[in-house]
Amino acid sequence: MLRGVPTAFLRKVLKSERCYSTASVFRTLETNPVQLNESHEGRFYTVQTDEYKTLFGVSDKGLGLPSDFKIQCTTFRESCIMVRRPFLDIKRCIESYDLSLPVLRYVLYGAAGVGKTMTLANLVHYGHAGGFLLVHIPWVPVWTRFAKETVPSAERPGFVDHTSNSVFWLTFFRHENAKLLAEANLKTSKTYEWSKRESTPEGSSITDIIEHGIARPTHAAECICALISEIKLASSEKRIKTMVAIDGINGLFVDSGKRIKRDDKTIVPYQNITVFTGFKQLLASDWTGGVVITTVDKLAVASDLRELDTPRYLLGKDGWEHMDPFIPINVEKYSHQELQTTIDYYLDRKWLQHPLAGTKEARQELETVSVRNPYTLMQLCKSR
Amino acid sequence: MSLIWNKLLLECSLTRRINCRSISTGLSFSRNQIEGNKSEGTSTEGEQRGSISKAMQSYIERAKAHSEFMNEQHEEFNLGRRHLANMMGKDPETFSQDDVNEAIRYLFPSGLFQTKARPMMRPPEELYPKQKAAEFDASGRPYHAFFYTGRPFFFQMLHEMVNKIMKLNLITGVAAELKEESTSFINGTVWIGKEVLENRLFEKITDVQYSEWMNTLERIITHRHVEREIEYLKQFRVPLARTSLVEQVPPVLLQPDGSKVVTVERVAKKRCRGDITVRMPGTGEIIVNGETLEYFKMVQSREMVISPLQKAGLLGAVDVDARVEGSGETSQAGVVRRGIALGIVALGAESEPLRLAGYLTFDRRNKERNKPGHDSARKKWTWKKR
Repeated sequence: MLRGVPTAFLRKVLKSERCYSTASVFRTLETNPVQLNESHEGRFYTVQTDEYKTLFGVSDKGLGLPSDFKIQCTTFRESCIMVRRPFLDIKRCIESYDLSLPVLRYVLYGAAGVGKTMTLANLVHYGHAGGFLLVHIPWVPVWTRFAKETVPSAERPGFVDHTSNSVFWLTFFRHENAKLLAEANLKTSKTYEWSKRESTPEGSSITDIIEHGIARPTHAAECICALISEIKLASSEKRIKTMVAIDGINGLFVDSGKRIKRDDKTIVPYQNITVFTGFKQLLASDWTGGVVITTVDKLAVASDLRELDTPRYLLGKDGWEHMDPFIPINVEKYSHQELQTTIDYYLDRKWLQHPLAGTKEARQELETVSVRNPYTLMQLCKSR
Repeated sequence: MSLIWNKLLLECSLTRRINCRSISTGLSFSRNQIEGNKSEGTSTEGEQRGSISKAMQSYIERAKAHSEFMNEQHEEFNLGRRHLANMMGKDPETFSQDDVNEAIRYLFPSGLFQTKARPMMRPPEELYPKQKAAEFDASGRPYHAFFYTGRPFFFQMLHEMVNKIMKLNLITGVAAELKEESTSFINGTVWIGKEVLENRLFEKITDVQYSEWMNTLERIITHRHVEREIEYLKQFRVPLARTSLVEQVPPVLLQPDGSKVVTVERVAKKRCRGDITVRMPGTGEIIVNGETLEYFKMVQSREMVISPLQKAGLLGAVDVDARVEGSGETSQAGVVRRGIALGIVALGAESEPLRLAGYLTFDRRNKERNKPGHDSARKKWTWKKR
């Protein structure tokens, strides 16, 4: 039927046809997360390159996004996140909530690989676009499992301060919120004395705290705590609105496996980590003008504490009491339609290249073998 | 006495020889000639001379000793059987071999892996090898004309077959039209195996000789006048062994809601046992020990489980509920796979593709045992000079 038609023309038509048809099915052209709504549910939206660099691009490692997903983004030369139900639910809650009331705390929970971190990243993007100051702690166990350098705390006996980790996080925080910090021009509420000679006087910009922490790694952990209390105060005084996003908060309340040791080889309990006290302050409900979104993940704790995925089990008694009351949000596996959409997306990216990849049988096999788990599906579809 | 023995043994050997000769009747020397020999060897020459050859003498001695030994064994066995019957409180007269086996299993329970190594009590005929009858007469002369070929009956049979071919070749005229009934025995049958042939001939033959024998038969079966020798050929054909389709297809239960359910019980591999329930129609849900397919951590195991469903095109059309215990992940996946395959065959899936894929076959491999003094089945120590 098509004999005689120039091949180049045919290819062009087919290409445009395919672009049109697929875009309408699995992709949404909306790039502003604030504008996302129920009509975009189950479709992929694109995180713009500059925003991706600001929020997740500071490190190649899994910072804010799972590292496997970052590799995939590099391969696809775009970063697309699926708009899913938990994101839309929390977004609607945030929009309808009165910020003058005490902060609401959301806890995302679910099995490994269902997309808790992805939902959190989606919300971080939303917060960034929506004018929230981001206090984003990508993965709590980093502070225990990959604690690069620690020094005994000068102010708190028995505590340890992270140096390089704290400096890195302060850099990350400054990078994420550079624009907002410059606009808001927040001032410190009191004088902070870091040592006999060094101090940040009252009324100076809170970026001074950040700069001091970056310049003096020994003080960086204390700077984080000071920064957090200043942010809480500023939010409560309605000078700014804040979004706290912490991945794996059960790492703050339960042993996460690898432990930090002091010079005399004694083990530092997770309660005696300076930055953790600051993070726990963020999770308290004694402040207003912000929103706290967290995840509990069994991968954040030691391997013998991974029986269940429920918040009560993972947070433990201390964590539960600290967080109570909170709003649990269950992140579920892909629905049948979401799975099909993801396969469509992979086909469009030529990530699935087998000639039979798009057939009904192949889709059925992927669905059964992955058991609709998003992470497993990603692993199955990547080259081995 | 020795004379009586002599006669008796010769009679025995002759009847036996003639019995086994019954397969071949075409050659000139057989019964008559041997009977002639017999009458000559026993009554006239032997008695007249009053002496027999040394070979015969030693044979008679051996046969006598063996017979006495066997009698002794028989008596012992019968006595033991009666004792056993009394011990078990049964009637000794009607105490059969099956009862003996049962009693031994009860009185001497054994966990030995090899069945042959376990305690047993069997009649002596089954335990001791049979003695060969004499193939020569009292003067030491062999009965059979082909005795010195080493395999007289085999070569006699070949002669017989070649004679038949020559006879068929002599027939002139148009070959009779082959009827389907007469040649139908060829379909679905094969030539008897080498071992069967050996048992019939009471002779060991080589592989080359067996193929020679088969080639000769092929010449007859492809001859245009084959219909004259069909009866002769039939005795060398056995039906092709039919592979059992499915050893045991479990029953299908019809549920009140109209769905069909099959439960395959005690599916085994290594130390793993499992009960697998397949329900049709279903939504494609696979449950293993109360969990989803995520129970299996490896993708390979998951693919194993769904492979029979893919083969039968039933992926997504049936529900599976499996309970497995013991052994490791791969074995458990293998058990679930076989259970599903048997289940869907019971539900009407075509069995042949599944059988060819090996999903219906019991995997009889097992863990090799550790060797004494070593860490594992094959592992040896690092060689150290001193």
